[in-house]
Amino acid sequence: MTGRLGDQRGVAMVTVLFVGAVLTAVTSAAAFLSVRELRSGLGERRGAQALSIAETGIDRFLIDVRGGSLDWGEIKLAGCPTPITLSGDLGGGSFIAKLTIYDPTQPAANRLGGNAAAPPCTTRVTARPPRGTAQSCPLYTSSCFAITSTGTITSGGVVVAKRVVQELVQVGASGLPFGLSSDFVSAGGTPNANNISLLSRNDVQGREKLIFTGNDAYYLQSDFYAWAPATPIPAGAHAVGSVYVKNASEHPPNANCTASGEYAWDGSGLGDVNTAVCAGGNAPTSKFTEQDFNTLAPESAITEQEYASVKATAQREGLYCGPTLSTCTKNGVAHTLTGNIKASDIDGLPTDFVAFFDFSAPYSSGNSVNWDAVVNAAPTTCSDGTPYPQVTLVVRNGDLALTSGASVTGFVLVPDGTVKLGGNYTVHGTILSKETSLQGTGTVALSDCWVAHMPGPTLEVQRIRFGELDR
Amino acid sequence: MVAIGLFAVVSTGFFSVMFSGVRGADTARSIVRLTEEARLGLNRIVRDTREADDLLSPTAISYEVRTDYDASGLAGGTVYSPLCTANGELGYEDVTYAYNAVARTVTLCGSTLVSGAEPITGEPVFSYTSNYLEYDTNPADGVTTPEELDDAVGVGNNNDTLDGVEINFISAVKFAFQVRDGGQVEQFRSQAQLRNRR
Repeated sequence: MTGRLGDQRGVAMVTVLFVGAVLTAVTSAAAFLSVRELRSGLGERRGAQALSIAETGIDRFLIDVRGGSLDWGEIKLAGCPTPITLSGDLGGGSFIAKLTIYDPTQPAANRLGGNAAAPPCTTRVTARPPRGTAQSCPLYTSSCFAITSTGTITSGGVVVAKRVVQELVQVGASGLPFGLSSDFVSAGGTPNANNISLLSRNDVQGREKLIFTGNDAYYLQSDFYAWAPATPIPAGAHAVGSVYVKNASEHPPNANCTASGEYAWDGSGLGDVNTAVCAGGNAPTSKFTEQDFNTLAPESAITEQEYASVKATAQREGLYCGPTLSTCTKNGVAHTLTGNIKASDIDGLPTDFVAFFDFSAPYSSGNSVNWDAVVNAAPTTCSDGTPYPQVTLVVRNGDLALTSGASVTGFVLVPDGTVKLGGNYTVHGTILSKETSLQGTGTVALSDCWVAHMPGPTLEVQRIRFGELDR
Repeated sequence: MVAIGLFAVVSTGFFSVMFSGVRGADTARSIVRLTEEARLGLNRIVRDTREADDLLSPTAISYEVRTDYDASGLAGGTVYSPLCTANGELGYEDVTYAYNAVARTVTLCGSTLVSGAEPITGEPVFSYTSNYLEYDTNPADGVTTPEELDDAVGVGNNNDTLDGVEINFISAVKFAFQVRDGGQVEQFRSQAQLRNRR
């Protein structure tokens, strides 16, 4: 017994066990601290990542609107009942962004579109995009939209972080000139200009060849003359330089009441306050200055950023050629052109598509695109909710030629060269070019349908308010 | 007696180590709780500030943001911060964040949001910068400070205080504080752009 009590070998073991247990507790506490810190940090990092991805959804949507894959006809009905949706993957996460109309004057539950038969879908003014975006959404609801974007991070198929953000945006017509707008315009043959104004930063040659009919589908008299009524302005020619009729300046007289009266609304840099009133009425002044042009159209061109957006759309889901016509893609796949652009070159493209001809700088008259295809043979027929086929047709550092049978509905942008229209062509929409030559018996026109479906690159999107919804 | 003495020494040592371990675990839990609370609080401050429509009364220890959380621009709507002042006419809420040096807290409209907080040496709890780089003059380093705004002709009133129209040019709020629990210190820094101040 004494021997067993005197044996202390077990004490060491027990002590080691106790110390081991205590050290385990201490280590566990440290590990607990580290794990919680790590988990907390990881959660925070994932949350920030999800927020960034959600914001990317908003940015991508804004780019898409200006990129030419959407038009005002689709945008104005977003969420009535189906939102326009854009999704994508990014850096281990994904986003889904939805565009809907937004009416802050409605009760909170009804602000976003979602029910075509209920507000705000039934209370929106949706005919045409408002000019300018100076008003803020709460006061001017007809152009206010919400982009709601959800960013998620997944790990092993499980959502581990999610953030929802919303950007209120205002969409309206950009400050570009809408109509037949060029630095210089010359006319021959008997071209028709229906419901469209001609806007030139310099001269118009051969005015007598042009046959204007109807009222401008876009501009109002008050857009040209601040004191005039907000009623459509009759189609006419407006040049900062001179408007030449049979090689002589049209003004004076002021106003020019000759012929059928279609000259009565013309304006030029040589015009003046009108001393006569033409049968059927006329503008209060025949004077049209650079300042008037800039008031009418504060933007003379789209920006390089906007060109990049349009180009990206063409490369992704349109027709893109550059730096020569022998290197093209269609819907992102290599495509070979054979001669002029024809139906087979644009079939299979989206309803709203972009054709971008990106010749390398500088401009050369040898860089020419000959367009024979037809985009929307019935451009004056449309209804809300029905797709309106059109093209954003861009030629950089070159010219564009349309000949007999060619028909384009949409937005023609030839910033460095000449739009050459000959034969029996149709351009239904807006033309923005350095020069335009109208020959033959074709038609350039605008219509209420086009105005109700203005293509994305002619629109302006302004951010109004950012919010985080996942509170 | 010798055995009892040895047992007492061993036991004392053992319990002392054990209690120390328990204390360590408690401290660890406490630090985790504090830092998590601080993280959540900072997140809340950053998110509210990011969404703010306006910034009011900014100082080194407090500022106020005015936010229309339900984005109506109209009276009524959701009240998100019931402790704070709701501007019924326009549907805004005025949310005040402040640092209380005595209580060592960061508060939201007087209510504790972060406890155990104290300034990081040499840094204000709240500081402000501007995106208006045309006033980034002294030095021209890519950051427009309140001091530069104060000195800017046509903007500042040269009184060495961020006040008056200078506040309208502030576009971001920076946060810097640390949380101390015993000998443990965790530092927190962040910055929020006033996204709706356009």
